[in-house]
Amino acid sequence: MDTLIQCLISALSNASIYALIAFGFSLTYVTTGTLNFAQGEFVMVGSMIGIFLVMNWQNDGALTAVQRPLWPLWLGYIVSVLVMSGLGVLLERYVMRPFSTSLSIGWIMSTVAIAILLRNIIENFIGSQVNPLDPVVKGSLSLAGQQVDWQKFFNMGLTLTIIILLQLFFKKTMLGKSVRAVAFNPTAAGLMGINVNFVKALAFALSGALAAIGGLALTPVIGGMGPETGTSFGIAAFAVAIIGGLDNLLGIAVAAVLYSLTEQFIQNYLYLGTSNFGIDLFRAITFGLLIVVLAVKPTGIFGRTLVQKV
Amino acid sequence: MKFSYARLASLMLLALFTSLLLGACGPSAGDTPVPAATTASAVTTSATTTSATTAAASGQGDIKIGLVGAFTGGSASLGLSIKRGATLAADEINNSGGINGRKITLVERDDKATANEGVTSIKDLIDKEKVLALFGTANTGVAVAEAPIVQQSHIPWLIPVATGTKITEEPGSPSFIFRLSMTDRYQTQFVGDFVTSKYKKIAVINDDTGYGTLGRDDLLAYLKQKNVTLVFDPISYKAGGTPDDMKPMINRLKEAAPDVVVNWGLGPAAANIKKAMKELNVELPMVGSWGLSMPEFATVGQGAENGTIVPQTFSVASTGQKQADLVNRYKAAYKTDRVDFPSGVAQSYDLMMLLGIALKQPGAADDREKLRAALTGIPSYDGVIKKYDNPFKSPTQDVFTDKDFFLTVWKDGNLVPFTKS
Repeated sequence: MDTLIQCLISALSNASIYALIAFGFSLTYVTTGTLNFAQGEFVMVGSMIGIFLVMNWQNDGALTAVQRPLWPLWLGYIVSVLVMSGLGVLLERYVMRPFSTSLSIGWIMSTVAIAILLRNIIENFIGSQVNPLDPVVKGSLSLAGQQVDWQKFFNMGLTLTIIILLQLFFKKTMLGKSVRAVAFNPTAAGLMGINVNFVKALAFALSGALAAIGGLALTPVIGGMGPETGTSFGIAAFAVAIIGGLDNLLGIAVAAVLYSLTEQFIQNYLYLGTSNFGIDLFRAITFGLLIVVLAVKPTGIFGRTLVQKV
Repeated sequence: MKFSYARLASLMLLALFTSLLLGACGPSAGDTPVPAATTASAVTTSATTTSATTAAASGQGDIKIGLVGAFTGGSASLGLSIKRGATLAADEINNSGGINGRKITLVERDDKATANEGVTSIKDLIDKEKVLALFGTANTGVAVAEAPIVQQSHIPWLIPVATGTKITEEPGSPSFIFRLSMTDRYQTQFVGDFVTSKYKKIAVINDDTGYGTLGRDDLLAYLKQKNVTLVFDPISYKAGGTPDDMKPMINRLKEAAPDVVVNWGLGPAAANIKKAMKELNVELPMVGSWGLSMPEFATVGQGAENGTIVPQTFSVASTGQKQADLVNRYKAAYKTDRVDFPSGVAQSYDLMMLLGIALKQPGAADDREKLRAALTGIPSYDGVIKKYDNPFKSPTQDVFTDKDFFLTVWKDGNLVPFTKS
C-alpha cells in the first residue's frame, strides 16, 4: 500500500512537470507548425538562471560556494521566467522564422543545434556540476509511512492553475482568441488584421516561460539541475505531447498522468534485481509506443483528427 | 504554411533521433564503458608516435606536462581537485627555482569523463603537444581506455585520482603507469574490513559507471574471500538517477533490512539515494567509497548526507604545518573557505611534487624513459599525506595500500574524522 501511494504521488508530481514542458511544445506547434527541440535545454537554462540568482553559486566552474548577496526567491523566479520568455521570442525570430518554410527541415536542425549550444554555454561559463535549488514550499508531509515534499503538491497545484489560466486565456481574451485564429488559419487571421508574427512570437514567449517554470518547479524535487538534466525531461515531455496530441492541452495533461503512472509502476513493480531494469524497460516501451502513435494516429491519442481537403 | 501530419511525424522522429544521437555524443555524467574499437585504433596510432618520444625532449625551455581530467561534466569536482592540487605543487616548484632553472608548464585537456574524449586528449598531448609526461584523469572508465596507449607510447603517466584496480595492471614492461590514489583493490579491503568488523548483515549497491561496477567487483571478491554472505545480490543504480528513481531500490533494501549499506558510486546520485531514504523513512547506516566524498554529496544531499562514512587519505582537520599550509594556499588561490574533494587535492599535490623530484634527476626532464626510471628510483619524500619511501616500489607502481587510509564521516557539509566508538 505504501509503495502504491509512493507511486501515485511520484507519478502525479512528475506528470505536472512533463505537462508544463509539453504545453510549451503544443503552443508553438499550433501557432507555427514548429517545435522547439531545445525545450529540455530551455528547462535547464531557466532553472540555472534561478539557481544562479537565488542560491550560493559556485566559483571556477564548480565546487565551493562563494558568499555573495542573493536575490529573494520570488524575484529570481520572475527574472528567470522573463529571460526565458525573451529567449523564446529570439528563438522564433532568428532560429525558427528564417527556416520555417513548408519544405525546410532547417528549423529542426537549428533547434537541435541550439540545444547543444545551450548545454555547452552552461557547461563552459557556469559549470557542469549538479546544483540544488530551494523549494518554494519547504518541509514535507508525513503520509503512508513516508515524507512527501510539499513542493510536489505545490507543483501539482501549479500545473492545474496554469491549465486553467491557459484555457481562460485562449477562450476569454482577445489575444488568446487571436492565437487560436492564427493556429486555425494564419493567412485568414492575417487578412483579418491579426499581427501573425506577433502571435507567433507570443507563443514562443509563453513556451519559454513554461519551460522556465517547469525547470524551477522540477529542480528541488529531483535533487538538482546540471547541464545534462533538462534533456531527458525534454524528451519525456515530447513523448507526452505526441501521445496526448500536440493541439490538445487537456489531452497532454491526461497523457502526462498516464505516462508518469506507467513509468512509476514499471519502475516499482517490475523491479527485477537491478533498479536500472525498470527504467530501461519503460524507456523502450515509451519510445516504441511513440512510434506506434506517430504511425497510427499522428494527431495523438487525444488530438483531433484532421480531415484534409484535396 | 501547412504541414501534413505524416510529414511532421517523420520529421519529428528524425529530430528525436538526431537529438538522442547528439546527446549521446556529448559529455556524460559518469564513466563510459571502454569501446574496444577506439582503444585498438588508438594503440595503432600511438605505435607510430613512439619514435617521436625523444622529440619531446628539447633540452631547453619549459617542461611540458599534459594535465588531463574531467574539468567539466558530472565528475568535474574530481577533475578540478587534480587541476588545483597539481597547479599548487607546480607553482611551488616553479617559484622555488623550477627544475634546474626550467619551469613546469601544465598543458590542460578536458576529457569530460568520457573514454573517447580521454583517448583523443592524450593522443593530442602525446603527438601534437609532445609533452614529456601525462598527469591526471579522474575517472576509471577513461583511464582504462587510455592505459594501453600510454604503455605503447612509453610516456610516463602519473594518476592522482582514478582508482580502478586494472588501470595499473595494464601490461607493459617496464610499466609507464604510476599511481598515488586510493586504488579500489585496497580501498575495498579497507572498507570491507571495517564493515565486517562492525556489522553482520551487509548489502552492496553501486552506480552503473565503470567506477561503480569495477569497484563493486573488487569489493565482492574481497568479501567472498572473507566468507561474507550479502543479504542480496548487489544492486546497481543509474548515476543520473533522481530520488524517485532510487525508491524501488530503497524499498528492496527496507525489506532486506541490512545492518549497513555499502555504496560504491559517485556523489550526486548517492545524495539522491540518501534523500530518497529520508523521504521513505528508511534509516540505514551507509559506508561509501571515496566517491561519496565528492562535494555534490553534500550540496545535493542538503543534510541527508550526514552520518555517511567514507575513506580518505587526507583531512583538512590535520594540524600539521605542511598540511595547514596547503589548505590555506588552496583557500587563498581559489577564494574559498572549503577544500572540496580534499584527498584528491592532496594526492595530486604530493604526486606532482614527486614528479618534480624525479624531473631533477639527470636527463629526466628531457627523456621519457629516463623520467620513468627516475620515478622508480625516488628514495624518499615527506609529503602532505605521509612520508613516502621509495613510493613506486610495488609491482603495479601503486603508492598506497589500505594502511594509508582512514575513515571520515559527513557532518553538516564537512568530512570529519570518524572514530569507531
